[in-house]
Amino acid sequence: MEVELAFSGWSGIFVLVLYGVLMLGVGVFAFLRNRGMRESLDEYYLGGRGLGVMVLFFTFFATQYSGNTVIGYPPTAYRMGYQYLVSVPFFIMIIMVYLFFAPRLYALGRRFSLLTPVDWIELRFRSKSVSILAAILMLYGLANYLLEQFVAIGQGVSGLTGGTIPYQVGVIFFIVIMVAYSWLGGMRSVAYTDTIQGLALLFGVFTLLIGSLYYFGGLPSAAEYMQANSPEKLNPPDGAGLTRWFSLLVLVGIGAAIYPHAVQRIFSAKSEATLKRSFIRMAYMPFLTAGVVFMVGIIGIAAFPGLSTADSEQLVGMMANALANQNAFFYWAMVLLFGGVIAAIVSTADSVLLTFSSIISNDLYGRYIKPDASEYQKVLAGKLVGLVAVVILIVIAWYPPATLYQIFVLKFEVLIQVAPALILGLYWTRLNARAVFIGMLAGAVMAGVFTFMGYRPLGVYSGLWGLLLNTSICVAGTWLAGADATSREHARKVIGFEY
Amino acid sequence: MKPRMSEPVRKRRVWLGFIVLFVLINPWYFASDAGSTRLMGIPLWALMILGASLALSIFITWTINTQWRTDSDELYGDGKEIGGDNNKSDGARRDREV
Repeated sequence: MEVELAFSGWSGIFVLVLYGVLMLGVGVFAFLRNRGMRESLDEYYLGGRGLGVMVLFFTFFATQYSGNTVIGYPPTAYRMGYQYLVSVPFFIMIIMVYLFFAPRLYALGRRFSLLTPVDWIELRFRSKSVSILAAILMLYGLANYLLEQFVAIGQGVSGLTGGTIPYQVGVIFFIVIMVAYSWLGGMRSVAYTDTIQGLALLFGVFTLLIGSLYYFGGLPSAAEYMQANSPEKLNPPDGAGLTRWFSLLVLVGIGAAIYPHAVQRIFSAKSEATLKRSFIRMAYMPFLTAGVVFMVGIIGIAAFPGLSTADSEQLVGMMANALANQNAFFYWAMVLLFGGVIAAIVSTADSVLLTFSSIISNDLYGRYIKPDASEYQKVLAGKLVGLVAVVILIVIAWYPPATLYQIFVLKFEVLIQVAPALILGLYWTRLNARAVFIGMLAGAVMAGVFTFMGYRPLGVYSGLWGLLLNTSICVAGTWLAGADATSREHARKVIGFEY
Repeated sequence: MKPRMSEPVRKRRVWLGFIVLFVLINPWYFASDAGSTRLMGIPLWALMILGASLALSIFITWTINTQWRTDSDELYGDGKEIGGDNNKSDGARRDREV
């Protein structure tokens, strides 16, 4: 998402520095306010399980919608026209998928003090191999996710400041700030900053839409232009387009709902009522965010006609440049929009980093390496390993190696392979841990191989093929040989809430 | 004693609603040249997809409000006491060793 903004230079730097200081301030505030509490896993990683409706809603929001939603979706809508309208329902699908597992997972999370998704898998299967494989897949997927955000931060900062701040300086500046406020306040800092970041993003996209409608003409003129030049952009998808639509709905719906950092947010809700209210709000957000950026892309079709694929990637930058030249209000609104975009990337990165550290703290260090460590030591181990991972990722992000690049692409594809263990395990007492292990491994390998080979049978994404194989192995394996009587009894007690 | 639970996943009407709405948010039921019929510059088929999406959001709201209820809030209150009361969570952690 490299977008060059000619209009912005020092004002961009001003907004970024202001933003950085604000985030640090939030971290210090969260730290001072909770200084009396002893540092525990619950406090640091889940904000003491005390997030209220507004903060919980915004932390879900900022985790789901990243900078890419604002910068990457309009160009896609520009190229595909109304066939990309799928970006609205696929965000609603995420909430629908949540309803199939979040109610029970929240109740279990409360009862058993669950901290991470792996924590649940360990409680359910009591299998070292399943837990460790799930932890590795999650850490691998999360690390790649983090790497992608770092590269996006660097590009965003250098683009916003018209190259005045080089890519590398942007990466370092924001990562130092992000690590600092995360260390100071843990989940509380992350959730409070998510709230500010979410508001900045909402303000930005609405200003962009209003400005675009006012200065570039509305949807009717865009439709007339499409009718004359590319009528397929107005028509509903057929054949391959329809398969793509379908598989995006399924992949995004399942994938984003079971992202480890999304699952962890379920555990941090203050109460079930809070969680419910946050979900209801999230169910309408796609219209206000994905719908709005979609319209911006459609307006772009008539406003900046005939762009090549590469040029269309700059669409939001071009529109922002044009709007910023109109008057002082839009100038500052566009500076804030891009500040908001970078904020959104940072807010996705901080959530991912926190979950990454929590899996280290709780599921690897705390469970297998040093089970008798104090909670303080466990938190510290997670923080330090998280920091080491960040440093390694910065080295890779510094000059992304071209040939190894495919290795760093896999995230969605591997993260989604944890879904059967996570969701089927909630309801099916017969589910066999061994089948789960083999399914998860086979699904991840298949998704990886298909991605590397660029193989996409029937136009369906590689991650879904892996998930299909994975689920089939879980189901068939369990039918052939269900879990033994002791495991089944344990499962029955756990998911029957009888402990 | 088994707690009283109401979960969307166990309700046939929830499944039925989700299946119907999922079918409706996939644009398979339009003519291939449906883009020529428009309302305020938006193709009618796109408005119908948006309508179905809104129906899905409303159905989600109904499901959350009426089909989802566990005993968590009765047992753990609104969570205020959990923050400072670590004994409670440590207790639950010990339970897991059972």
